Formats: sequence, structure tokens, C-alpha cells
Amino acid sequence: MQGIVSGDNRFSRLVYVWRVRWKVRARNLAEFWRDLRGRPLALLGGVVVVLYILGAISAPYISPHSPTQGNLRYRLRPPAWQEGAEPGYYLGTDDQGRDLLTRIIFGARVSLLVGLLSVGISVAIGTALGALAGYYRGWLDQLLSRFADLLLAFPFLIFAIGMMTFLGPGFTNLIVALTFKGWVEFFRLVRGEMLAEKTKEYVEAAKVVGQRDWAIIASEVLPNIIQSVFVLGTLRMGFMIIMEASLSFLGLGIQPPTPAWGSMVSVGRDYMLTAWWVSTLPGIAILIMVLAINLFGEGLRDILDPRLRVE
Amino acid sequence: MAVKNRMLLVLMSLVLMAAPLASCGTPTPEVVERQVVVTQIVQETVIVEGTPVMVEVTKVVEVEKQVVVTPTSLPARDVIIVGLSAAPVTLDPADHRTRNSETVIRNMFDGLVTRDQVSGVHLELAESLEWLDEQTLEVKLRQGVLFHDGVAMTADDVVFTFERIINENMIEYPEVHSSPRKGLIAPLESIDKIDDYTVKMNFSAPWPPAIQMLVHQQIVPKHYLEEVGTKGFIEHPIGTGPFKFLSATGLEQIVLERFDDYWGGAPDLEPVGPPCVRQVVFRVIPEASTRVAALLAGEVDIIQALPAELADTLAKTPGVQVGTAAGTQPKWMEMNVNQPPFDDVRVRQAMNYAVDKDLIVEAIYGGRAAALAGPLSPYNNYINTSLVPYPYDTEKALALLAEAGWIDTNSDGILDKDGISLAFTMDTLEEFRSLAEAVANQLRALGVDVGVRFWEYSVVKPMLDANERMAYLDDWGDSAFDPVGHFEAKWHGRVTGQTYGRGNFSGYNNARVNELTKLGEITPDPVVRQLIYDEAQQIVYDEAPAIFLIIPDETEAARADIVNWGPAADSRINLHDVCVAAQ
Repeated sequence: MQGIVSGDNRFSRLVYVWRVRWKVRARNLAEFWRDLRGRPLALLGGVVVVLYILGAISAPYISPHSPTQGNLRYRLRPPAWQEGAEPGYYLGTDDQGRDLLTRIIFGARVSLLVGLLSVGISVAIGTALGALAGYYRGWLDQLLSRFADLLLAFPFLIFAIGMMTFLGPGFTNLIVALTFKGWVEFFRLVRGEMLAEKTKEYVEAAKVVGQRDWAIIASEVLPNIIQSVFVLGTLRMGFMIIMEASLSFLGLGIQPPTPAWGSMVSVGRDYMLTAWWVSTLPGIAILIMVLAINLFGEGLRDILDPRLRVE
Repeated sequence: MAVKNRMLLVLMSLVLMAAPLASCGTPTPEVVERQVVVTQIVQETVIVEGTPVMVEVTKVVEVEKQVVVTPTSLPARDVIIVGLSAAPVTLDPADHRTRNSETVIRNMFDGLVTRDQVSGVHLELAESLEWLDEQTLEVKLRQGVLFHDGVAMTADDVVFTFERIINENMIEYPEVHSSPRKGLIAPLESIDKIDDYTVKMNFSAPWPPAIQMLVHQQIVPKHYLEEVGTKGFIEHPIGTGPFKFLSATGLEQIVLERFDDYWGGAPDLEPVGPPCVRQVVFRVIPEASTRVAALLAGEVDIIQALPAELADTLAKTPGVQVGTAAGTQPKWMEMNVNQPPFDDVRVRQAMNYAVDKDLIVEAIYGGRAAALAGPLSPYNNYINTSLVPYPYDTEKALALLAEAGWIDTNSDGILDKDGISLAFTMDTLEEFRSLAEAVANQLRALGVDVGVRFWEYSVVKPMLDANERMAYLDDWGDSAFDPVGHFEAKWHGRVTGQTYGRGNFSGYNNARVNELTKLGEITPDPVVRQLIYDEAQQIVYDEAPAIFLIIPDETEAARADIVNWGPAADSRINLHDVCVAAQ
């Protein structure tokens, strides 16, 4: 200790630790950026996701019309490049005469919010329970693991449909239905990693030093497995967005007039023969967003997962 | 290289597959080949033993090959495929309350009377109907009518049919229950057989719409039902109708075959005789655009429930015809009159003024609909002609709301009163999405915060019955063109255990309207009835328990070569008359 730290007070020691951490972090970030640049597809995915997020945040400022208030006189007008388009409605209008571009931009809010919230809550629950189950084992682990197995036995969409039918449609219920089963993936991941990490020497060392259990879990083990959780979270996000779109498509998700891509696709089915844009364009929005998220997520996995590193 | 080869293979196999298809698509015309020898008798001089002699010889001048091709016309199509919007729930005429079940069933079964494509009622299995007094109807049956199994129809079958409907717990499958069609003929107390071809129907009170309502009951064979039971009957139904049951895949696809011994059908309605086509198929295609695509592709010949926005496009498409008939399914948004804000009649009237029905008719239904002037359809036989649809007048609406205390005090665009925003959720079913969203949109423009929620009918029905919901948009079909059905179900107050008010989702209960409804049911004199219903309509119109919206036309489409076809107001698709034009 003497050689490294100049003064022997706790404050300067703390400063030192933080400086080292920041250096490591900065180095990691630079390394990460280098890795990302080497993967153009992942980079592209990341850029698209950022664009979507920016669009969703600034939706009220950048969209030309109201997302909920339509004008029946401008019903089912085609996109600007087609004959019969209404000026100012660049992607055409839907069956209520609402601007499709506006609704697609606002729809990104719903999709992203559902994706972030459902994954976020799933991560929180799954990680906490997984860490506890993996660290302590015993009856808690048995109970949680069996419950997780039970939930895994259901196909996700069928389960979500059942939940939504039971709870009734709506935003909150949608998040509840998606997280009710969504946490299992993270639980299993974290529990597995915890089992593996638990036997490593640094955990033994922490125990010997006399750290408390929660401190070992939170500040020793979790930082080592959080990368995998992050990767899985990114990949699950695309999945959750698809689930939201599927449920909204079936009329069980977001209720009108809130624009959601899934319900927009569903409404447009009836007009497929005369007005292809009503369901095709929101469909493309879903496609691009999920593709971007998945490309980015897979890039992340390649970069962050040490097991995949072949140098 | 390997990929290329595989592509080539796929291509080749496609070509090979297409080759026989192309050859069997058109029938081969009859070709006769024969040799024609043209001869000519010529005089020739031949030298016979030194002397020239004139002889006649037959000489072949020309040999030509003559090919006679007799063009054979394409064999006439004798199968008609109908694209239904929803599957029938059963093929038992006594065990359903859905239009599509009746659409299929009425091609296999006949009633005592039938209806033309508008509202005229014509004798079918009944040869004559005579009111012995105000409550007793004598029905003389047609003789020589055969069921599909060859057994003659008699008074026993008619008595059996109606007793199966009006008596309790007559249907034993899948569990013992009473016929859901009882409500359609509720005043019928009993039915007696007089002789083999005469029955007497006894009603509990005079019932003016009796004949219109008899259209919706079809005669079933007593002997067959007693032998096979309801289960056997719905697996292979037998009736007296123009088509007999052939096969069914669930109820998604039902195949019927021409009944060659058919007695002919209502003599008033030409043509009379066995059906024109050999086979008909009812295929369920729930999605409207898929149904239209199937019609355009020639996969089906007739489609039901054509969406309005496609009607104009289809009408202009060669090879397709579009038909409309006056509709019988008016649409309302009922408001819960027992809860604020709709417990205030001014708010309910304001809602009526706030909806631009003409714009909805034009924009959503392409002009193929009519605005409702009060609770009844404009095609009803007892419409109050002095009523006009609530005009679109937002100022009047806002004034009424202001009078009721709803003003936008905090300038958030939403009206409020005592710190509460004027907001409600409009419940509806997926099939009314366009209309519901348009109405909600217009109310929002006025400053009412309206959300729309889509339900399964079976889920929302108990809540509606309990009068728990705020607003509900849907329709109520009534093809009898008589006010009885709608007034009884929708505008009469709810009475537990009775059919009165069974579709009354607004909780509206007006003593005078109840009284008039009951009076109208038993008053035979049409002039008095008109007065009764005029008053009742006026009250409901003024008290506005619903936003009286619109009634869409029945719109159907068929291939251009389908003749003798047209949509009927009661959604029936009568295939007896339909033919395929020769090509």
C-alpha cells in the first residue's frame, strides 16, 4: 500500500481507486469503440436505433400533424410519390384521415417505451432473483428455478395473449404481461453465471476479507456478469417490441387512439387492396427497428462476450 | 454452379408442372379429319385396236384433306362458391341467433313464408294463411313437398318445428337448452294440428308482425330428428329446401347439392323449380380484403359484407358486379343514462349534435349508408317521418354542454366541470373500428376526451348487462322492418327474466316508451300503430339515450357471369335462383 498511495488517509485512497476505475473505463470505452467500428453492421444498427430514439423523444416537435386527430375528408390518401396524394401528408393517411408519418413517429414512442420498460423491469427482477438464487442455492433456488421452468413451458406469445385477455388491454397491463415471463431469461442467465463466478478465487478472497454477502453479490460478482445481461437485454428488446406489435395487432395491446405500430398494421389489413401503405409502412418501421436492435445487439455480444473472443 | 443448377431444376420442374395445367384448362374441340376425293368424268379418246374410241373415265382431279372442327362450348359452371364473412354457428334452424347461420340454413330449409330481397313476404311452405281471429292463425300447408330423404312434409313436422322452439329445453345437444329463437316468436303460445295439411297457431295476444317474423323459422323433419337426435341432425341436416347437405369441414366450408325433387319454391318469386346450379359451397373467409381478393381471383363467385371503401373500386372492375340492398342493421352509440355525464339529457343531445353523420356516410361508407333519424331505421315500415337526423352543429353542442356545466375552464382543450374532465371510454367490437374511431375523433374535436376500447362480445356483454360501462357502439339487426324488434330489445327498459330490454345497454327506462312498446306489439290497426310508434320514436329521439348514427346498405359482390343474384335486405343469400350465365 505504501508505495502506491502517497498519503495514508481513506479519502486519497478512494480518489486513487476511482481514478484507476475511470482509466480502465475510458480504455474499455475506446476499445469498445474500436471494436464497434470494425463491425459496420452493428454500427449501422446502433445509429438507426439512436435515430429512432431521437425521433421518439422529439416526436411532438418534428411530426407535421396530430397523431390522434384525423380529418375524414383526407381519408386513405396515398403517400406523396403516388397520384392523388394530399400535400403535407408525406406517407399518406389512414382510414381516419390521420397522417401516417406522424403516427409512425409517435408509434416509435410506444414501441421503444414498451421495449425499454419491459426489458428494464425484467432485468431488474431477473438479475436480483438470479443472483440470490445462484449465490445462496437451497430452497430459494429450488423454488425460483421450478417457477421459472414452469413459465418457460409456455410459448411466450400464447402466454402473453392469455395474460392480456385476463388483465384486459392497456399499457400498464401490457408491461405486466411482458415482464411476467420476461424476467425468466435473465434469471437463468444470472443464476448460471453466479454459479460459475461463485467458485472463483476473487469471491473466496472477498469472503476471507470479511465482506458481507450482499456486497460480494453487488460489487464483486455482478460487475463481472453485467455485460452478458446487457447483451441479452439488447437482444430481448427487439423480441419485446415484436411481442407488443403482435399483441396490438390482435387488439390486446395498446388501445386507440394511441398510435402503436402493431395495431396500425392490423387496421390496414382491411384496406390492403386499395391502400397498401396503411399497413405496409408501419410494418416496415417495425422491421427496421427490430433489425437494427438485433444487429446492434449481436455486435455487442461479439464485442463483450469474452468467450467469443478469438485473438 | 450448384446453386445455378438447382435454380434451373426448379425452373424446369415448374415448366413441367405448368404444361399439363395449360392443356387441361381448355376443353379440346372435336376434330374430324377426312379425305375428300374430287373426281370428274372426262371423255377421253383411247385407241382400241387401232381405232380411236371415245370412252368416259372417272379421273381423280384433286385429293384434299378436309378437317371439320366442331367447336364445343366450355361446360357450364355448375358450382357456385360463396365467401362468407363468418362461419355459421350451427346448421340447426332452431339453435342460433346469427345472420350467417340463417344465410346457409335457408338454402337447405324452407319456412312457411319467405321474404323477397326487400321487405315483401311471400307464401312458401304455407299454401294459405288466414287469421281466424286476432290471435289465431290458420295455416294450410302445401302438399307434395318432400324432405331431402324423400319423406313428405306434413302438419306433424310443422307442429314439431314450432314446439321445439317455443317449449322449454327441447334441444338436447350439446346440453339441454331452450331454443334461442323463441324470442323471435315469443307470443306464439301453442300450435295445433287440424289435419295432415292444416295447423292452427294460437298467439297470446294480437301480434301484428307475426307474418314478417314467421320468415325466420324453418321447418325441420320430425321423423328424422326423432330418429337421429339433434347431434345427428346437425351433422347431416335434412330440410325441404332447394339444396341438400353434402358435406362440411367443421362449419368453415359447407357443401350443398341440388335437390332434384325440390317442390319449386315460393310461387310468387320467379323462377320456380329445382335450383339452377348443381352444387353450392359456403366458404368462410373472415378478412374482408382476402374475400375480395378471392373474388377477383375467381376462387369464389359471391362474397358477403363487401367493405364500403372497396365497393366503388370493385364496381369499376371488369368481371365483377356489386349489389346493394337497404340495410337492416342500424348502428348507435348508447350512453349510460344512469351515470354522469350522460345522466344529463343535454349532454346526450350534445353528443348527437357533435357527430357529422353525413361526413361519415360519405367518407367511410362511400355514400352507401343513411343517417338515422331517431331510434329506427329509415326503411322501417313505421318510421316517424317528421323526425330528421340530428344535424351536425358543434355550436349547439357546445351550448348544450355549457348549459349542463361543461366548459373548458383550464384551456386544455377538454371540457370540464367541477374540476373533472369530460372523458369516457367508448366500448365497441373490432368490426366497428372505423365507425367508432371516427365518432370518437369528432367528439374529441369538440373537447370530449374519448378513448376507444375493443372487446370480445362475450367479455363485454355481462358488463353491459350490468349497466357498468359508459358508452357502447354496436348495431342490432332486425330484418322484419317492424318496430317491435328494436323497441322491445333496445329502448324498452330492462326486465329481468324477460326479453324486454335485452339489448338495452344504455339503461334507458322510460315508462311511457315501455307502455307504447307493449301497446304497439298488440295493436293490429296499422294507423293506430303508426301513432303509437310516432310518439315512442319522438320520445326516444328527444331523450337521446344513444347517438343515433347510421345504417349501412347491405353490399355484396359477385362475378359478372352470376345471374339472378342480388343482395337481400335481411342478408340472406338465396342461391335457389342463382345461375351462371353461359359463356
